[in-house]
Amino acid sequence: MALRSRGLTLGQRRAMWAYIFLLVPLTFFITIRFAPTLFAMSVSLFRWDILSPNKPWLGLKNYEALFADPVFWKSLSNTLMYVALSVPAQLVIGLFFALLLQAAAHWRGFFRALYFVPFVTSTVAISWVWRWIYQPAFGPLNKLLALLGLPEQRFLASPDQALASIVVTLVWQGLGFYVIIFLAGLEAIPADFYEAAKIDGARTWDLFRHITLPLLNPTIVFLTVIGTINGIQVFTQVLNMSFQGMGGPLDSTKSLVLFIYQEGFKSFKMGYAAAGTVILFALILVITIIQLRVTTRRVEY
Amino acid sequence: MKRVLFVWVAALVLVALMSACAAPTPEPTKPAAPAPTQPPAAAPTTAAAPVEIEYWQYFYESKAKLVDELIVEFQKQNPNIKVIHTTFPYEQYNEKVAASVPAGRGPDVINLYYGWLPKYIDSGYLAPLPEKDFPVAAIEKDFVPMVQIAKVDGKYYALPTAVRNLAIFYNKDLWTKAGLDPAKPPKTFDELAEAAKKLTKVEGSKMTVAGWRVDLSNQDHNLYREILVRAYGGVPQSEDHKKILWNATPAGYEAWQFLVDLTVKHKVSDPTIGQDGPTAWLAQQAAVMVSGSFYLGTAKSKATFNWGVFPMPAGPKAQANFGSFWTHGITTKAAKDPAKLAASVKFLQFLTSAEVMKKWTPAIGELPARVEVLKDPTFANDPLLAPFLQTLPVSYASYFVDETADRKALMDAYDAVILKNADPKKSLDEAVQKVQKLFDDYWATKK
Repeated sequence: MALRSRGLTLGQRRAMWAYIFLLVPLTFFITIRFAPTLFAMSVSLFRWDILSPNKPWLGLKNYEALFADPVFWKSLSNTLMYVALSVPAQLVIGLFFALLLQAAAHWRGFFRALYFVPFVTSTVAISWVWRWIYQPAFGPLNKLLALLGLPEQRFLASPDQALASIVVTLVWQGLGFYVIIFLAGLEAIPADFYEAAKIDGARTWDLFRHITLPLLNPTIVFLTVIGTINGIQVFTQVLNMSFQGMGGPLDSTKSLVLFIYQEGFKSFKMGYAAAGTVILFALILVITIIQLRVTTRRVEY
Repeated sequence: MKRVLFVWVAALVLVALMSACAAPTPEPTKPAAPAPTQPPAAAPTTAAAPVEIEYWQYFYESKAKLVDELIVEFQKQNPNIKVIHTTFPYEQYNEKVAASVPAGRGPDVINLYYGWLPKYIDSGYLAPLPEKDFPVAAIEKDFVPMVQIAKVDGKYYALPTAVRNLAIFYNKDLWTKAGLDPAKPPKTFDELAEAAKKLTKVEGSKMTVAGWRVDLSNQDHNLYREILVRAYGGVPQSEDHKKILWNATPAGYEAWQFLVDLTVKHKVSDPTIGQDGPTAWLAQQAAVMVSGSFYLGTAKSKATFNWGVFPMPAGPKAQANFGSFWTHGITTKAAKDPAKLAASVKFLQFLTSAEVMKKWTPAIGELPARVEVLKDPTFANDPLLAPFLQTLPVSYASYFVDETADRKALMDAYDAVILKNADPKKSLDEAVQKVQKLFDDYWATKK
């Protein structure tokens, strides 16, 4: 029989304290995250050029203009390309290195730190160094190609190669994060499963396919979702690796966020840019929901 | 232990207090850090408060230095006015200004590129210059004609210290090496193209020196729009600034073809040479560069070779030049406060006075905006300034609605031709369409 005092029960009182403590980050989230999001959604319905106090109502005209803008569609397709190229690459290469690291007996800590260093290095600094590496005239990559007798490439100066060049930088930098998370996931797999399977005569590939991969599923789901969300928002590398940050040449590297940034802060079309952010939000939401539905499977032995 | 701690804390507090009291008045300059800096909030001043006004400028080393010196002089002449000078990197200048508006902060006197004026005037950011201090008739008599493009509804909103136009910077060492005479520079664009062919050096299949490294992101978009179009007999815009006429006559197409041929046919330019035009020229990887008198200061301090300037060549039908200027305006924020308005007016009059112009030109290389100062023989006889002055009477300022987008349309059109083998005529038509849309949207909102 529960002890009932005049006020709340013990359980209720503890819950109340929990809610009070949660109020602090909740206030933070509401003011810093939700309110500006709602504000941006409302701005997308007006024309606002940031310099003038007038904000004439436009309704959905910004969205109509957005869908009729070829640069918007190019940015959207570029962004999907960034995701489609970088996420699988990071998953595969990350898992590969994580498996190697797990098998490594010596110096594991050192290698782990080494792979993680690019991830904690300034993105801007990395972008500029890679930009120098890709320089057509005096960059080391072209020098290397010349040494090997291969034709020199234009990399960031070519509308066909620029996007892929930036993807290489994205993958190189993000790899460390994937390696670390995969390592954690691998170490969570009990060794008994492997031993039991080996007794039954399983080969290495079978071990990988039937034990490692399925049990890594939550890790893979997590990394895919995070990777996609980050990939859709790629901005810093594009800004720093394209000429004058314009997403060129010929808009071949312009990502959706860069497009929004330019429309908002270079052309001062705040309403138009806000409409772009709403589309971006909807895109990420839809893709994340699809990913979670399709990939989450509970695996237990 | 506690006593030692107390003593240390007290000492620290004392030191902090002392440094706050002994702090000299804030420096007039806040040079731009690699990351864009926030403008300083107006510091509270002592009693008998001088009026403080803020002046914003984009960061150009020679300009920032000179303005600091000029401010010291101005403050000596006007002891009750204090000017706080803040600069921002060029790429972020527009953003910084725009972002300051909804925040209710910002300068009292601001330096703006004339091409941005329509946007700023329309949004109510700039106050019209008071007629009694800056009579319209006096402006039109005393200043060079290109200043009049900044007149809106019969009023002036900004006034420049200096104007610029373009000329050809050339590397005299490379000229002599190519067997050309540096004392006899080309007078027409065709002659210039021929010279560029002789100046281009190729090793194997790679270009090592470009005769003329075309860079539309720098000045070559202005070269096309205002100079080449006119040189071949066309005009870039209708008189009312509502229609883009680049492709309205064959002249525009011919002008575009000339520019395109430099890379495609004559092969005197390659976009992989240097980061951009000026960098390539300084590194002696380009023999010729189209740039403005504002570049004279940089060239003097950084060029390690013999160089010179010759006047903008003429085309088959005409000679024209592109004129532009950075201009100072007074913001509506300042205009609301009578004390700040009076101080801003004084500062603006100082900045646009003949004395300041006489100092500005030798230090920066921009040409004086006042006609009387232009006639000064020290400038007319200067071999580096003369090529610019010669073509000042035929220098036109373009009317821009969105200079960045206008420039990008031409950049993209050029890239489409040289990187994707697009048809030059089609690419020019597309550029005209894009810019025409900008103008149509702009004029539609003015109704």
